[in-house]
Amino acid sequence: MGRYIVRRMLQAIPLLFIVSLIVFVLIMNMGDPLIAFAGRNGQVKGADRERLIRKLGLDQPIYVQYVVWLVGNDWMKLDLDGDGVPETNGTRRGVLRGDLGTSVVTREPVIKMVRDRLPNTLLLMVTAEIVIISFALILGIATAVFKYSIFDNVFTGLSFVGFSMPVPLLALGLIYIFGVYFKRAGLPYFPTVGMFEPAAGKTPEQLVWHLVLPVATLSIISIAAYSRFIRSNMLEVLGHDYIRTATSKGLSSRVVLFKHALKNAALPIVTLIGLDLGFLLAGALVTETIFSWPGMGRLFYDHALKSDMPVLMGVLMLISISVIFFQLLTDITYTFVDPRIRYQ
Amino acid sequence: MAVATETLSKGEERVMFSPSTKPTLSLWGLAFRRFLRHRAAVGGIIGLALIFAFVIVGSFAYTEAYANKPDVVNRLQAPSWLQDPPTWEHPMGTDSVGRDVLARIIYGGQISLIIGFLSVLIAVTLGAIIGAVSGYYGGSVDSILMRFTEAMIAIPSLFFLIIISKMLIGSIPNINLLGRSLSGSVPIVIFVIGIFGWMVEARIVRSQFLSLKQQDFVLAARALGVKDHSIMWKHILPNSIAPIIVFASLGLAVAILTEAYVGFLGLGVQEPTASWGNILNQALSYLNRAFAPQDFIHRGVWWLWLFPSLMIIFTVLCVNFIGDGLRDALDPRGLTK
Amino acid sequence: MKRIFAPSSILAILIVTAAWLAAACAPVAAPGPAAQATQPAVAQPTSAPAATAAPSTGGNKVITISYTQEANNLNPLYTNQWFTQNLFDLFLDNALITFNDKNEPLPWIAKEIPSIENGGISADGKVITFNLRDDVKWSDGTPLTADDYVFTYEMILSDKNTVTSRDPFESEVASVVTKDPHTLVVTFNEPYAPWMTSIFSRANSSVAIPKHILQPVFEKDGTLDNAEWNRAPTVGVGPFLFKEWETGSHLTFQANPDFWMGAPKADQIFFRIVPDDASQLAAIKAGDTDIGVFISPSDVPDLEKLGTVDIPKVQSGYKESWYFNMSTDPATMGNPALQDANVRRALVMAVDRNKITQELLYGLTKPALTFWDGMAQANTDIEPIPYDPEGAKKLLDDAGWKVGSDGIREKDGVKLKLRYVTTTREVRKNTQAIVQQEWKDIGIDSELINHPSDVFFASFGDKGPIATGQYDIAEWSNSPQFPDPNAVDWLCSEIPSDANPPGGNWEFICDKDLDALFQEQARTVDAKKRIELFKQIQKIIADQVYWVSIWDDPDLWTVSKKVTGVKFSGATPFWNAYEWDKME
Repeated sequence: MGRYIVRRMLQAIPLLFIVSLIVFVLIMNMGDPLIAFAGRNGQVKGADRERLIRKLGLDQPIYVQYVVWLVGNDWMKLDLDGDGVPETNGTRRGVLRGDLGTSVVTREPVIKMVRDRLPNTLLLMVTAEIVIISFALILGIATAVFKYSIFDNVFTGLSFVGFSMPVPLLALGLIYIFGVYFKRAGLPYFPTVGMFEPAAGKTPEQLVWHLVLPVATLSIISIAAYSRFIRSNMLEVLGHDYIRTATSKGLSSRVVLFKHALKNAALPIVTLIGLDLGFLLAGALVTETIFSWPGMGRLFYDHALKSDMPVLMGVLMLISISVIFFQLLTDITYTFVDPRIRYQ
Repeated sequence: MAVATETLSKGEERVMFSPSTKPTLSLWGLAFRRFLRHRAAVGGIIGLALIFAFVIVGSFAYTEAYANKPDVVNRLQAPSWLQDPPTWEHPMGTDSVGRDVLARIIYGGQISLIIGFLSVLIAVTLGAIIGAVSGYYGGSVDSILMRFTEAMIAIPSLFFLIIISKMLIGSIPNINLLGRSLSGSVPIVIFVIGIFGWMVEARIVRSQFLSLKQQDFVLAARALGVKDHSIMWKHILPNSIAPIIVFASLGLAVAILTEAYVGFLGLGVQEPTASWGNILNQALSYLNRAFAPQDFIHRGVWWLWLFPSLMIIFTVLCVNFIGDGLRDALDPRGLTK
Repeated sequence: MKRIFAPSSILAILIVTAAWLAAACAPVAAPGPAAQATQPAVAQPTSAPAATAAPSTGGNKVITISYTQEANNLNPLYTNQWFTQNLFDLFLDNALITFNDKNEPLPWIAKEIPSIENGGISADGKVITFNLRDDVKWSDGTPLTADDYVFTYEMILSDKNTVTSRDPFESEVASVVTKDPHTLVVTFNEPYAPWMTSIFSRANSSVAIPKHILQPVFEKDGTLDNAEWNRAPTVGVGPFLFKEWETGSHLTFQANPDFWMGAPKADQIFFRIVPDDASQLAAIKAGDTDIGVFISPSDVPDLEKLGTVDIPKVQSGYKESWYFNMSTDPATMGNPALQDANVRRALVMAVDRNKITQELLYGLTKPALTFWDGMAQANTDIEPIPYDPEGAKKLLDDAGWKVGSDGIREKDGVKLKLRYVTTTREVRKNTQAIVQQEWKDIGIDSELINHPSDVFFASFGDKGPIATGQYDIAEWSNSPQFPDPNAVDWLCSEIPSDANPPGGNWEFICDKDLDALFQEQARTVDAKKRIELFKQIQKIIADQVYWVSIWDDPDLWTVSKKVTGVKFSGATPFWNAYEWDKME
């Protein structure tokens, strides 16, 4: 087992390398890298453009830029005044030496930007994930046990309405109903946007309060997918002989359900959850945007609009590492959940 | 106790006993019979057939040119049967430049369904092949395929979608097909949704294969000299059909929804080509009115989001019920009992 | 088989967690449709946050402004972003000249506006002398002097700093020196007419940075790129001072009691980043924001009905415009029909632009006549191009573009099929759809193409679709150097090509007469003469149909009726923030 883990970790290195290469090439081709310097009319022109391209190293071939991103440029001389003679020492240390670079938009170290956003995103996403999984487990098991009952059919219908609901429509609908019209009608209401009221400050109470609508949005759209998946796995397991055996030997339905059935249905469920955990720190792009929640999804999207390579690379690599870590964790968990699987 | 007996007594009891009386039926014939007994699934088939009929027959009632013809003076009109005097000119109202919403839902439905089915087809095929090969052969094949899958998984597909859409949107010219002019964004959306949708399924199929390939019936088949591909596709894959179908049915829904979702970010199917997603997205600009209590009927633009939403929800529901029915019907273990 | 039934820790954890969470979380987070029904009851104790429930009277007047984009860098050298530049009115309010709500120049740190009459401008127009106020101090007590401006100039030109723009200091200015601590002398290479909006002016946000703070940083780091002050400008000058910036969330500014014009009336300005327009609107309606920015015209009727906000319409020089691809270079050329001024005129005559503004923009604006509408330089004698589809057909027939068998006009085997390219903004897509139909009615085929705005605005070097001529008609919003009329995008020398990849003349117009007039106006310091030159420029543009406005594009704001004293200027929106007040 220990050797298996070590091997998987070693395999992660070329994996991350491939991911970074694919993503880098895509990002370098997605738009004007100097859009961040543009004023309101959207253009950067003339001498300023040439100077900035040189200064940011964008005049170099793409593979040189990749190498610089990877290992930095403090070992080479750069030509910053455009006379063709390299004269200035580079200052970047490269990702391999812990320097994720500096955002083209904000001139801030990427690592700091990510550190600012990560707690917000985790607060939102972990809360939502907990709510989603607990509801999905309860509903998935219940609908499997009472399959084809009125409860099952009604819930299936409702969960698909939630699942099919376009996120922006749902989010804005919740804001208008619980934020705007409840307030206008004199009812207790929820805040519309942001993480806290400026006058009240960033207190835990404010945070919880501002979390309600975004978490509700994320939950309503996600519960269906999870609970349907759990239901279908439970149904499959419930059809097996050993369940009938267990039932016929007189075990209580509770024991059969939770001890025998759920345990065997857990493998695909664990897979699904394990895969999703890694993405939690990617945040929820549309939900974060609509609720003005300063998370990672928005960081990515705002900077994708500006083709801000260092930030996009930083965010994507961080997510990749997290996903790979949770994949490994999932695979290891398999062996506990299903002893039939063994890794050499 | 009650739980288990109830599950057994409901749908499957009859199935369990009927094969013995009709032993001549093939596996698929049996599955078909069982599928027909699944009422929700049959309802789903009928529903989906109705949707197809609607978008196909509808295109004889309205021309595509009509669906794309703006009439700005009559923009954002509520359904005409609510007007005074009531007419059937625009049964679902008009959109933000005065195009007929019903006609756009018909033509948009064709596009959304095409996007859904084609992208799911790409995703399911890729996922099943990669998952099966990887799980069955194991070793270095598994290693390579799984590293590739992991690399694809490790990047959130929505982010990929944004980057690739930004690169490609506007780069493919309009496509003239069967006398119709489609926005070049349609194949881009299909391609992008399809090639980023297979990874989870591949992992699930692989984990099924990992667990099933050590079971007795596989070992027995191998001992009897059955060929690998035959074992994979005939013996193991049918055992994985349940999760594949669940994923395909959810995947179809996700594909249709994703199209609407990237539209919110300004990257979906480009107008004038209609899709359910881009009709819906128009509504978002006027949502403040949609939730306005005063004169909701005529000014609420509810017709812009309600009708495409209903179509999307109805399609997703039907597809899922069909998926449910297929799963119950195709479960090979039901036969061996 | 037994092993399958062996207890597993994971399973136990799952069930226990699920049970615990179901019990613990449901009432707190209140998710899901079922739980929402109970929300009002749950909401009672903690609802109505302090600001609304308990009016705070103890000098805590917070004015909340929603910002749909976040500031990028608070150092004026490192930003060109409109959202950030507005903030300088609060914490870095040291422009020599600013502009009021009528877009009239006001002497700000300069005691008076230099002119030839008062001796501030030399007779040859090349030297401008500014006399600075001597009563202005940075928030740490250090006096603001001419040295700060010279330092700013040096930092802009230093190769070690990745500043956003050197324009026009690099191209036009020969030197910036101090005569004494409160006299600044700027010398130009040639007389430079637009100096008032570009040399230490609030109009282009060339404000000064504190030398006493940043010079030591520059000497230590060798660059200002990473200075802490760029993101936390704790030392400032102006009615408000930087307090806090949490990225993605908010920016706050605290009143400066020592402001040289007296303490401001409000206590705090709170900028909340609200990236989605629709959620900004919800926040405005809920009263969660006092000032809203870039309001969509389609929302105005409802906001007016709401009655809790004013909706000022502020002219900032922007005009939603059509540009025709005039390139003659095969690599960047559009449909050859566009070379003919009569075809261009016919394209415009076929479209009812007034109907577009009336319906899509709710009559809040109308087509602008010239690129300089709303400014002293506008030529009001120009005849607007009428809506006349029949006339358009005749013009096209006369120009040789006859209707072919498929209903599309053609000439010499070339179809009149046009690529109509713009960004993905909703109102632009709607405009495209309407125009496509109107062109179709007179036999012009068009293909609608939309790019995300950063792709759309990418330069020739980055293969931007407009800059490389991949269009026939392009639509975007543009402005002169507002409130100065200067514009360089029309010069032949600005045409982008392999030799000049950053060029900004994306309409590829090269008209010798126009070129000469544009060059001349930039050197004409005499305002009256300059106006005459601009009138000639506009005549040529109108006669040749080089440019057409679809609509005038003013900025729409919302201001809560609780907030008083707000007077936006198109060039410098927050110039009088010290007068803003909020009633409880």
